Order: sequence, then C-alpha cells, then structure tokens
Amino acid sequence: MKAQTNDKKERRGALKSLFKWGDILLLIVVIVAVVLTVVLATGHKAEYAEVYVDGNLRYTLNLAENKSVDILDGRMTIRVENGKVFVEHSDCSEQLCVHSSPIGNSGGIIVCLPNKVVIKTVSKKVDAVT
Amino acid sequence: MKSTKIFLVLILVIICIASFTACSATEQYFVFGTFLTVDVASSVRPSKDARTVKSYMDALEKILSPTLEGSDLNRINNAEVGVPVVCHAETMEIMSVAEYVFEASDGAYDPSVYPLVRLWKFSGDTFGELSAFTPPTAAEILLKKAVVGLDKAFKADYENRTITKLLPGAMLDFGGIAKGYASDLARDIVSAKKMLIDLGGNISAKGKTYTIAVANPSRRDRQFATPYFGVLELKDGECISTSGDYERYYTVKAGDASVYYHHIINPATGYPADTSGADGVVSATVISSNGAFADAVATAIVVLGKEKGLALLEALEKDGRYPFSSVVINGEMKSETFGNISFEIEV
Repeated sequence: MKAQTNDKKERRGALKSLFKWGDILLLIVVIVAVVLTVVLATGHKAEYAEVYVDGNLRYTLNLAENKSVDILDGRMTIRVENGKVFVEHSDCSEQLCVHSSPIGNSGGIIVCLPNKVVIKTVSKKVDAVT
Repeated sequence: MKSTKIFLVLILVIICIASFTACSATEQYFVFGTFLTVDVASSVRPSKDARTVKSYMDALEKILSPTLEGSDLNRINNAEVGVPVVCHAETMEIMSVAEYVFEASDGAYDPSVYPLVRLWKFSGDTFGELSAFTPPTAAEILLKKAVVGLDKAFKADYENRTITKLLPGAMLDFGGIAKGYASDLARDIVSAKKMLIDLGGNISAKGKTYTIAVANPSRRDRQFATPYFGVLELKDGECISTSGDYERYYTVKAGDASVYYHHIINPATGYPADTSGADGVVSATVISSNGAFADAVATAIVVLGKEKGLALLEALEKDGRYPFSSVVINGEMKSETFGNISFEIEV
C-alpha cells in the first residue's frame, strides 16, 4: 500500500518537473482554441442568407430580422420575413426568381441568372442541390 | 525564457487555427451560362484549386459553346454540308456518349434538336423575353423538325476526329450533356483530395461522400412546403445531373388559366415534352461515374415519360456500359428510384 503511494508521488513529481503551472495553463489555452476553431469551422447554422452577385458574396442577411434589401441599384429587392428569404422584386425578364419558393433555415437556393444573383441559406445537412 | 514559451505557444495556436481554416474554400463563378460552385477541402491551396477548375471550364466552354465564334460546335453549325470539321478530343468524347444515349433512347436525347430549341427561344442567347413570347406555329415547327435527328443530320469520324454536317440547316448543341461532362472531368485536374464541383446542378464528388438534395420541381403553379424533394448521397467518383420542366419555362395566359412551355423539347413532336399526369416526368435525376452520360440520360427520361423512361434505364443497365442509379418524379409528384440508391423523401 505504502509502496503504491510512493509510486504515485514519484509520477506526480516527474510530471511537475516536466510541466510548470504556466505550461499547463498555456496547454489548456491551446486545446480550447483548437476545439473552438473546429466548432466554428464546421458548425454552420442557417440563421442567415448569403447573397452572391456575379460570384462574389455581397450581403449576409439575418433570417431573424424582417427587412427588405435593395441590390443592383434597386433593380432587385430581397425580402426577409418570418425566418425566410425571397425575391420581392426583380427587373429581369424571366421572373423565375420572383416566383421561387421562399427559403429558410433548412437550406435552399434562389437563382436569378439574368442578374447573376444567387441567394442561399446554408444547411449543414445538404452540401449541394441538383 | 517565459516570454519565449508564450511566443512559441502563440505560434502553435495560430498554426492550429490556420490548419482548420485555410485547408478549405468555397468559390463561386459564372461559366457555361450558369453558376459554378467549387467546394475544395483537404488542399494546400484550395482557392487556387477552385480557380484552376474555373479556368478549365472556361477552356471547355470555348470549345463546346455553339454561340462562341471559333468553338467546335460553332464551326460545325456554320460549316457547309459534307465538309468535315476537325474537332477537339473533348468534343469527340462527348459526341461518342451522345450517340450512345441517342441510339439507346431511340432519339429521345438528341443534341441535334438545337434548331427547335432556338425556335422555341430556349437557347442561352434567345431565352428570356417572357413578355414577347408567343409559341411557334405548327408550320415553323415542322420545318425545323425536318433537320433534327443525330443519325441523319451529322456524321462523326472518330479516327480522323471530325464531325460532318449532312443536312442544310442542321445544328448541334451539347447543352444537355456538356455541363455533366465538364463537372466530371474538372474533378481530376487538381490535386485536392476532397472536392465538390457544382455546375448548375451537375455535381461531381471527389474524396468523400456528400449529401445532395434533389430540388422540388417548383413552378408558379406548384408550391411545396419543404425546401427539397428529397436527399441522397453522392459518393467519391460519382456525378449527378437532374433535368426538369421547372428549370426554364415560359408562361402564357390563356383566359384565366396559364399555359406552361418548358425547355425540354421532344425531338419526335417538336413541342415541349408532356410532363403532366402519372406518366409524365417533371424531374429526372441520374447518378453515374460518367457525368456526360448522367446528364444526357436525365434529359431522355423527361422526354420519354415514366414508363418508357424506366424501360430505357432497364435497357441501359442490361447493356452495362456505365453504372448508374436514378430518381424519377412524375407529374403527380410521386417519386420512383432505380438502381442502388438511398433516396430520403422530404416532401
């Protein structure tokens, strides 16, 4: 029994000589940073809609906030209402974007080819839509 | 000593953060008249890989677009009857798959339907003037239909890499096959270990299994409560393409009702394929290791309708040239799967 206690003490001593308290603190900081980075890098939630114009991300709209946004000098109006986003107005000749179903936090995509506009909500579940 | 330690640990933290953020990138471009999304993971230079994919697509478009001057298809369409046009290897490769699906589907998929597609104003350069749209007359359709038919309108010589026009006024367009081909081939030109390429819904996967949603065949007269019709898995090395009557269409008012004219023209009738009812197909999805094949077969199924479409799939499976699976949604919004596929319906 006594021999076991001595053994433990020896191991603790070895650890203490290897790591100082400051080192352990810094190690914890590193681990927390890594975990946070992984969570932030992979844990997308569709609480926002991304608006791309000609391939470039131009707007990020909060789905929790009801509002209308004019883009392309007012040629297109995007509306967020009750957690869903849709195209309220577009000057394009096709009007397919205006008639696309609103998309919400479960993911989806609205495309306006004439104006080169893509609106999408990011869902962790789906990687792409065919 | 202590400050050196802190400095070293900070560097370690930065490396950790960089390793999780810099190894992936999602880039979006406009090419082939549609959106290209490249999602690169597990790469040293993900943004560079995405740009390489885009450059490759640009190069393919310059060969395959019928409207770009100097492209193979543009030269074929403008050539005199009987004069062979020397083409790129890519054009011949697509032509080979196109001829295979044309024959197997009894002409339901036909890249020579282009004169009719233009007449109906569904080609990239004619589509869009909704207010000015009036359907073509029966006489106009008959006139264009006379030059449609891949076997009688064009001849491919694979040894000499030429395509020859056989009928005056005949035109070729790889619109229903080129994007599937491009999405498939672009996967192998970069060293990224994990990548998803989405060219207007023609998607190819590399290095991992991705979850792909099949879009609802939403139209002004069709509303859905869910964002997608269903989801399925796209495995490493597979491509997926969907054709549907909801992707591009015109609406014409006829009294109180609306008449829909969609972009998938039936070469046999000269009119948009009938997608209504239990035998109509509003959306056909095909997964295959060959992207061009998946793209062309998806179009053929919409043209053929459900019964004949499923018979085509059976014949293709029996032939066994390309492994594939499929999801077909009919005019009553009921889906049916074919082959080894797990389709989770969300509607």
